[in-house]
Amino acid sequence: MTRSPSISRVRTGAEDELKTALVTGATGLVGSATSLALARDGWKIALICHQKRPASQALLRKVRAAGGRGTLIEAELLDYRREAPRVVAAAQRALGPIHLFVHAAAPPVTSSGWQAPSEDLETQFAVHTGAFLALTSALLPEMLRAQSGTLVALLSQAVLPPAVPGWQSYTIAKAALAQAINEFSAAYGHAGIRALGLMPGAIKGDKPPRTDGDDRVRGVLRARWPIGLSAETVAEWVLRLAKDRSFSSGTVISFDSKGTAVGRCTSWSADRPSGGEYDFDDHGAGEAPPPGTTGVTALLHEVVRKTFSLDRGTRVERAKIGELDGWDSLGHVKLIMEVESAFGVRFTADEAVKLQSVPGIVAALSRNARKS
Amino acid sequence: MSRTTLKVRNLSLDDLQPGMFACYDTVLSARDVAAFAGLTGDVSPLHVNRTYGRRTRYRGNLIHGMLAAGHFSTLVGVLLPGRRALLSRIEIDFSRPIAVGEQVTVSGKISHVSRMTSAVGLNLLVLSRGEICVAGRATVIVRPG
Repeated sequence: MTRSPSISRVRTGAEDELKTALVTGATGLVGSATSLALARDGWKIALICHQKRPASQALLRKVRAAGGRGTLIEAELLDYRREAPRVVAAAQRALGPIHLFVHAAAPPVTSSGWQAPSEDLETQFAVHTGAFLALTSALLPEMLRAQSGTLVALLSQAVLPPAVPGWQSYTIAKAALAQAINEFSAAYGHAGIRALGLMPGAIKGDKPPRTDGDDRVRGVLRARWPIGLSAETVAEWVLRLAKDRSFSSGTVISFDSKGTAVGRCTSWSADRPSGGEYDFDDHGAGEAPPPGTTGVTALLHEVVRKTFSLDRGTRVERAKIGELDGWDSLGHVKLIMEVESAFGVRFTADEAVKLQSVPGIVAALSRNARKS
Repeated sequence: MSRTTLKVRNLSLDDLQPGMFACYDTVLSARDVAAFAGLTGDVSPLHVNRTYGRRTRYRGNLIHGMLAAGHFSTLVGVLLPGRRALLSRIEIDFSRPIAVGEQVTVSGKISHVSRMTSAVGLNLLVLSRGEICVAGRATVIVRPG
């Protein structure tokens, strides 16, 4: 006679049907746009907000009106150790196992001095990093059961050099969050759980950061605050990352100065945004193109620098053959091979001879992308 | 833990898609360990001798790794794809020991489907408290009927 083992909680299904999400910072710009984008796509969403205010109730109504099922959960993420298990349990009771976690919660960025960074650092670390880790830890068992889960963290271009004076608490916490994605990817990528990052830069409509009259802060921000993506564009990217599993774990999508997505960066090697035309006191300018445009330019610059062993800071945007060390006729052959390898394209000999400049190669790659 | 009797599923190759998954929870008990030792003859004291187990760094007996991995057979042959399955190949990594009496989750997800060879690839896991204890990759032939 056989004895059956003790078996419980049998679950079967398909990954594409798992449309349950938990969004922190749900009433913020990115959080609310993301919640609505998910709702329109038919997701069930746990909206995590700091306090149940009229704004959060209004968001819940919009989510429901958009076709999603939502539940509002109040949480104090500063107390993430205690709150994370409670929040996840409440979300799972209301919606079932959660398979997408979007971490968009963010306390206000303050421009603090080094003389008293501790309280500010604790706040930033708790909300950005501690809450992400604690919520992930609480969500992980159910994600692992189905071998299906996506974590999307909102990162910041402020972690890229040069540093913004006085923002160290915010940037240190965000850098730790980015590293959490790296670490998590190494640990659980093979188990079907993906950790991804979006590094959008300034969001259109967001409050301009305080400069407290500090000209150095103002100068750095003017130089590096060029983007102004809309929250809706960021939300579209969140949805894309959630649904398109060809974005492998560890991917961080950054955006260049025109708001174009910069490739599938698995490191911070992409060009940091440049250009000072965006006025950080006026968040009205520069609507970004929709997702779908590729980071061809940034990746090509990286390939050019790598091929000719140039420093990261070397400007190559408008370089032509003969203008960079090593870009002679022999170097040109090497460059074309590297470009073919990096982009998975093949140029004919005639085409390769005509590709005499970086803008020319960008144009050829764009033509190629349109053809395919 | 409310107990369930597994029902054998009968999924055909046409029913199967990458991303399909199945999972269940089970407790690997001392009785299971004794039965496995009796069947296979693996009576290592690490698994069956309490005094010895307590003296080890694990402070207790461990279940046989192959007992945990044996649940991959259940998952494939009963749930995904079920009765049409013929296990063709399996690779297993044991990354964390499992104590006797520990509750675990057994999980499998289809990674690819080959219509040409009538085979599917599965990623298999035994999990405990959010950690991966055993990870496997299997190739399963899906018989026509």
